[in-house]
Amino acid sequence: MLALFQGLVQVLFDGIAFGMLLFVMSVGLSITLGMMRFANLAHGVFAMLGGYITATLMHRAGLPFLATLPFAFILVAIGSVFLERFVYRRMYTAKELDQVLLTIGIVYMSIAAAAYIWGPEPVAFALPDYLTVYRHIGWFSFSTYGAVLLAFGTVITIVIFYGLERTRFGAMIRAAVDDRRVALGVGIDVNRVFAITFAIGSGLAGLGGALGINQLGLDPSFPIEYLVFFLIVVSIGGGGTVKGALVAALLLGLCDTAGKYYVPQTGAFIIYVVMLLVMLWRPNGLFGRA
Amino acid sequence: MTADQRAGAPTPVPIADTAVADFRARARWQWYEPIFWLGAIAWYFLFPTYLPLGTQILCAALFALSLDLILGYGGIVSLGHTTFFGVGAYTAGLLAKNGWGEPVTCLLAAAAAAAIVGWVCSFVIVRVQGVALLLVTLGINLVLYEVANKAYTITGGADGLQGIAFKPLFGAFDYDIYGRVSYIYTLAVVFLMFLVARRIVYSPFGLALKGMRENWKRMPALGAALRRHGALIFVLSAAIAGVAGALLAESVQFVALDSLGPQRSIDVLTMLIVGGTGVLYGSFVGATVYMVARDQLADINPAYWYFWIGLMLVVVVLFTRNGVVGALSDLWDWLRRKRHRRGPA
Amino acid sequence: MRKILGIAVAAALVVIAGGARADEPPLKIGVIMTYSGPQATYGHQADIGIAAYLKAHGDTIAGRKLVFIRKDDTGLAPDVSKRVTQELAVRDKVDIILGGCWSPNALASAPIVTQAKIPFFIIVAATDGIPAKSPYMVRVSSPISVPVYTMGKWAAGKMGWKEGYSAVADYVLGTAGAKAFRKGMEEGGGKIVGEVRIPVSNPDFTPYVQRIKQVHPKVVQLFLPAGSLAEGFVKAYHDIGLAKDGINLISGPLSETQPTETLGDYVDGVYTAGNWVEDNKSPANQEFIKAIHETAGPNTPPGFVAMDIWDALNITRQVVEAQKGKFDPDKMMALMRGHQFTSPRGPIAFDEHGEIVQNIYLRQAVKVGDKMTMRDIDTLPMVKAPNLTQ
Repeated sequence: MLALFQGLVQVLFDGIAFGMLLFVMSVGLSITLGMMRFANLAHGVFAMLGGYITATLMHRAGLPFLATLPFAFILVAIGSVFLERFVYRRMYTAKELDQVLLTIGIVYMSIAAAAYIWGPEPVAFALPDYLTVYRHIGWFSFSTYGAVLLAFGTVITIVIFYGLERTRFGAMIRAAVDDRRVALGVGIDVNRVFAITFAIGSGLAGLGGALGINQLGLDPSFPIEYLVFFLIVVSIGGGGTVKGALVAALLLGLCDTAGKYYVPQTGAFIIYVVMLLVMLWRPNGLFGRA
Repeated sequence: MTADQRAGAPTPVPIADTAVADFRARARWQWYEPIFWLGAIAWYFLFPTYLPLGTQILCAALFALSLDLILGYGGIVSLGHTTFFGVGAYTAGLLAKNGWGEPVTCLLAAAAAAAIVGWVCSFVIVRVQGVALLLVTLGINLVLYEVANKAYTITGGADGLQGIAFKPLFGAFDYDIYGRVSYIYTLAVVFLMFLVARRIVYSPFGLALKGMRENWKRMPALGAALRRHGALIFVLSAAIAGVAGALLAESVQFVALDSLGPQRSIDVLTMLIVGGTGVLYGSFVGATVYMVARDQLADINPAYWYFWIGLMLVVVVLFTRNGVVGALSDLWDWLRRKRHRRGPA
Repeated sequence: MRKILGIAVAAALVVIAGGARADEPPLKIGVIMTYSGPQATYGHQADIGIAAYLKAHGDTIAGRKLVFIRKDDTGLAPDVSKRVTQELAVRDKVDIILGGCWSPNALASAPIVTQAKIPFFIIVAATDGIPAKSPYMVRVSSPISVPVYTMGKWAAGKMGWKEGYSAVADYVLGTAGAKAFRKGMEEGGGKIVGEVRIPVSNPDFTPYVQRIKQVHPKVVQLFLPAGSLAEGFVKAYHDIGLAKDGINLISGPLSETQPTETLGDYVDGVYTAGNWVEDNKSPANQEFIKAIHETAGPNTPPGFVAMDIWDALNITRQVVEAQKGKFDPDKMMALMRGHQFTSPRGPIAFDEHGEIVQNIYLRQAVKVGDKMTMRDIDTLPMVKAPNLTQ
């Protein structure tokens, strides 16, 4: 009985930590999908870029892991501004299929570029010991890394919610997501709001990618491998809501971890089935709107 | 006679008549169509060492055509159409592995199996739209892929289905190292399927599809049963995709997980976008461009294939209206208009 | 008059000499590897192997120039693989093929090389039984069963670990691995107390390792693709402290290169069973490593794909030289089956099916001073693939 309880707590901890990681990586995609109705399948490219920035800074410049994280966020955010301005902006009114294929084209080009710059082999990466060591509180053992993920995730979630609810810019974002045309009508420069939001979301993806290397690995095909995860989070949560992305990411993290612990034969299967079921029950996601 | 008619004004033609005449005109065989098919036959004589490539282009083109039926004509965007290709391939493969190796009946069985799976999926597909549709189709593909991976006692899993041996075609024509029999057989089947697709598209049903694509919300007002149409075209498309999968299985005599893989779903979408959607030949043009480019680029520098195809996608989406076929037809129209302007001043 | 005769003779000699050299046609070697997409590292490694060979032995064999024709199989794609094999056979008319990056690809190519009589070296694929599909196929990579069966038998027999647990990749190769390990364990007097299949697309190993901790076997067999997957598992094994609990871990190759380099302290105490000790001091291995460092840079670790290519080309060289430059596919196959060759990994030979016969080395990662090193524990000589009748 105790073992069962211990196992449950373990699964909860690991699952929520993984879910937080997914949330940080996917929240940007959720907002941009809700605001501009733009299906950006290249979102994983930002995560990958953040990962490579961190790995490069650690290996070449010898920076400690935690110090590289701000760079991962800022550099990716800046890079995304160029992409948004010169490529994406023309596509907001295009057909869905065109958006999907344009972004897939960008994914392909990024994969090739990453393979060219950093080589096709997976990145050999090791976090410093103090970040990965398992600590114990009584019978409960947890990895420092998992705790770091939880901490980051919680802080970011609080900052995002505060930002959205209490700041003026946050109000503008919410207005633009709610009804773009009316927002324009009251004088909000939706394009500028979107550009900034996109940059923040992409920066967060980069941060998530950097945080996640230890767990998810990093190689040039990262954007395609993990695309499904982001899409699932966004589709289950419903585009446009931070709350939706959070709930969906946590749900996904928990289901995946629990599935692997209790029913290891099914593994990856479970999240696809969960996605299908949610899509059938609520095609707009748990918190989205038509 | 009305006052207008007495005055010599031109008799107004009812709009419906022009629309029908227009449709009929497009349904007739255009001048470039026999050229295309004769070209495919000529390939056999002109490029005798490129027949396996030709066969695989034809299979890919048929698969892309099946996707075009739901996407270009029906407006249903699917990120997981390989589901049906794979079902067809594995059906044919399993039949051959377990003793029934007659090629033509395997094709029919593959079509039937794929159609059944398509029918089951259609219940869900026609009730979802937009991004949700993309994800449902992708999800179904991923789930089926995992199932095939896990059920390796039946499917051979990552090792693939071994022991496939298709009997010689019609009992007489054996498969040779040059791939001659495969090519002729595949070309014949693809042509037949093309005729079927053509018939569907240029029929009242095809018109209804077009309406469905243009404005999903409006169609019920005109009396068309949306969901039934959507389901029907989906089943037909699945069956044709199954035939394409079986054809590939028959020419390669081997089936592996890549026949069900999501990568193939993205590849076929790429082919279709590059070639042009909603125009029957877009799938052929796209498949040819994609596979020939890949083959040639692979000889030069295979590692950066992804860069070039990515660039091609970006360019096609940003700068052409509808892929290669769309660009060509725009060019044609532009030339024609120039000629008109140069006519009587 | 004599002058003209002299010129005529000289010209005739030049023609004959030039013609004689023109009579030596190049030796065409087809290379079918994955050069594009997520697994492009295989093709990359193959090229490193080819460059190393050319540096060490030059680009001719018995006076015939080596011509390499590379084809991309685009990944696990038997249709593409069969097609490029056909093209190499009928269009390029190659003499030998180095390929078989994936089992389905190799299997799909088998009928073509049989029909066209082209000796085919399998460079990567590991599923048991592939070479038997064609009399012209030999494998220079390792079939899964060999190291796994060996480690099972050794673990139960020599080390006395009677309770085993299999943590294998959840696909058909993983099942084969679990089966071979079980057979080995049982023949060594042990038994399997548990098994878990880990999905290949898995990001997180903690739940699986936690489970193993609860079951508490004496030894865990790890069978995951080398690279981020195997490494991820080892990290979790280390972090959750299974070694301290007395649960041993034994695995095949963990990384593309030395696990002590990629995993550092994480790999402490882990046992590995493999067909090659990458830093062994034999002259053949040193020659190989030297060639790699001279062509791909001193920091390039020598990988197994490059080594398999090196072996295939060296065997080709010896066999073609034995035939004095005349290339006969049937003779080549007979010569290969009848001889032992020296590889950087040790001695190798081929059995009657074309399957490789090689040494298996058992090692353990230990800390020497403040550096992690792999220590040799045991060597099992010339292990033949066991007969695992399904």
